Amino acid sequence: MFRSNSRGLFDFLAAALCLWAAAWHTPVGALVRGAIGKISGRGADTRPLLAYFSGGVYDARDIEVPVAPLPDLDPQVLAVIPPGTALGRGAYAVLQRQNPAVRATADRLAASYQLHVPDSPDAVAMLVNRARSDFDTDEGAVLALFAGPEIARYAVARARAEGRTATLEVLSRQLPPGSIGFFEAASQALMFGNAYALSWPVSPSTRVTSPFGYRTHPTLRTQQLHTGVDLSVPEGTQVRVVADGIVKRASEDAVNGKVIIVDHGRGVTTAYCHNSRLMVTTGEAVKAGQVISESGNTGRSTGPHLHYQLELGRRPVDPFVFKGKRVSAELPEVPQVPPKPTVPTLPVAPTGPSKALKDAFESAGSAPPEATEVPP
Amino acid sequence: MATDTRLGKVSGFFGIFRGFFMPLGLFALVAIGVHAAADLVDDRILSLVDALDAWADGWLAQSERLASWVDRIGPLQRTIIARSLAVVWELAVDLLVVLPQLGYGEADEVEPRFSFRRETWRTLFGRLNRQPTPMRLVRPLVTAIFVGGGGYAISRLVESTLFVALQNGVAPAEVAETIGRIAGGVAIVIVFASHGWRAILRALEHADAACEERVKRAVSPWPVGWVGSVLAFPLAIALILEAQNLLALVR
Repeated sequence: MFRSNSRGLFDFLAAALCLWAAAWHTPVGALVRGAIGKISGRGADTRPLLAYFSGGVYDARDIEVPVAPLPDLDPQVLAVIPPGTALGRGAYAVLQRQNPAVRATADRLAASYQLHVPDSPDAVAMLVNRARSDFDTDEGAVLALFAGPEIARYAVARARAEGRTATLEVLSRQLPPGSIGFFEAASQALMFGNAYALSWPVSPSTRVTSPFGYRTHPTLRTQQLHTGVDLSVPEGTQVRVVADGIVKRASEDAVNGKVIIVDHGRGVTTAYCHNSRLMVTTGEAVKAGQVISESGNTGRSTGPHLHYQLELGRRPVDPFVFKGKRVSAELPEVPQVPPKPTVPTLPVAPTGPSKALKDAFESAGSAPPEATEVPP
Repeated sequence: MATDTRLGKVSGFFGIFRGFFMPLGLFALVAIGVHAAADLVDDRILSLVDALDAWADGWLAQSERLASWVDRIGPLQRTIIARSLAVVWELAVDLLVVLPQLGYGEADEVEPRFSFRRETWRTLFGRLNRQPTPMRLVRPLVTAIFVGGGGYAISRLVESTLFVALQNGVAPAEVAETIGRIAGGVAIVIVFASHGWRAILRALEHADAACEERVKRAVSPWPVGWVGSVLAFPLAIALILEAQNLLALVR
């Protein structure tokens, strides 16, 4: 192509390609760009170094729990929502927060299938369900919702060419770093979809003795985030796993007692603490509704109860957020800035039970007492 | 003569700056490969951190005095720890294995600034045969693997960037995909033809120089550079395990 003495241009092109890719693709490139930005006084526009390892997928960094009113929610607070409907709700909650351009993309996808504009959770569920047949997986379908069908189709095709299943992680590697916004939206939608589909570990009418949120710890007397909900159950009550998953941890320690952590995929995990007996082992696959333990009073606990915890992108979230529209609708009014935030950007539940939470529990059978009444 | 043509003149102009952009390009290429590998192992590191935390909690729980330390590190912190370890690992390999690429230089009796020499390969391989130290063996090998991973990452980045840029009515999706794939293919050919082999030769050259320097001081060259080699080797293995990705170039 070039004679030997013309290789200056050829080599320059190759070096430019390498430098361009490294600048946008590697932490060391981010460090250099950041340094240049600081020296030139323009400021750095780089992502945090650690973000180069996630691709924006199932990352809790930017999670905002669903706060938009969901008009079509089932009024039964603790009802189990079928996975398809749940994914529709999750995608709808995220779609509501997108800019008009992204929402127009979703409208265009719906129009291409001659479906109704995705302006409700059910309409989004129907759209995702229809798109799934074209994009192989839920992940491909949800990506099409936010990025558009062409980009999603391209990413799915390239994932197939690599011989891989079109998971969101694989799809994210097929698109340039500038597409990270699509993947953040898609991963939140999928996480929320999984969270909406979760059932409840004990009877829905079980009394809640301590809700999620900041509170004065009953034994340590310090302000701490209570990372789950305490469900008042007698010792020996059967605890059922809330969805299919893999047991990540089945062990005992002085704080959580006999604890089980289950990974449900798509960044969703649940934890069940203070059990008296564990009935599964680490690495075991469990099915929704399977009895995994018997509740108890082990670990740092002053009375029999089950501490049930939901984590999205490895960040604890109030499980009731995904269980009723009144809880979801009221959350924006109650965020507080705690003195020492463990979870800095997440909208947090109030120190005591909110009116919404009380409403939710009233619907379920009983109202929660004050947060400090019962230890974790 | 090509130097008389317009292209030759342009190329000659860029050639003036070879001493600046070639080492940077080589460093960038290998660094991209290292990052592609580190991105693959960060999930494994997270699993290890989780397991270590579970074990530590169990151990701390055995003592009443230490029990308050149980559960001090939450899942989010464990993720941050795992990714931080991946970043540190990657930067350590960049420092110990990739940085010597910046020492790239060219010398030739015909054209001092341009082509690399066949003699260099022969000499270096001769010494490798005579004294196959771990550094002489591992550094070119891992660099070759990182070059493969880096070249593929660049190709994918070029292809996908072009495809996305041609959306929104600029070009039909099929056309955009074809253009993207051609550009990606051209990019990987350019990168391998210009930088790939030079990076490997530079790694061998650096390893050889480090070993020879020890030999001159009458010190055994075997332990030299072992930290970088030990750090880089698992990352290279991780990339090899993902080598099926390369099939996408021809599919």
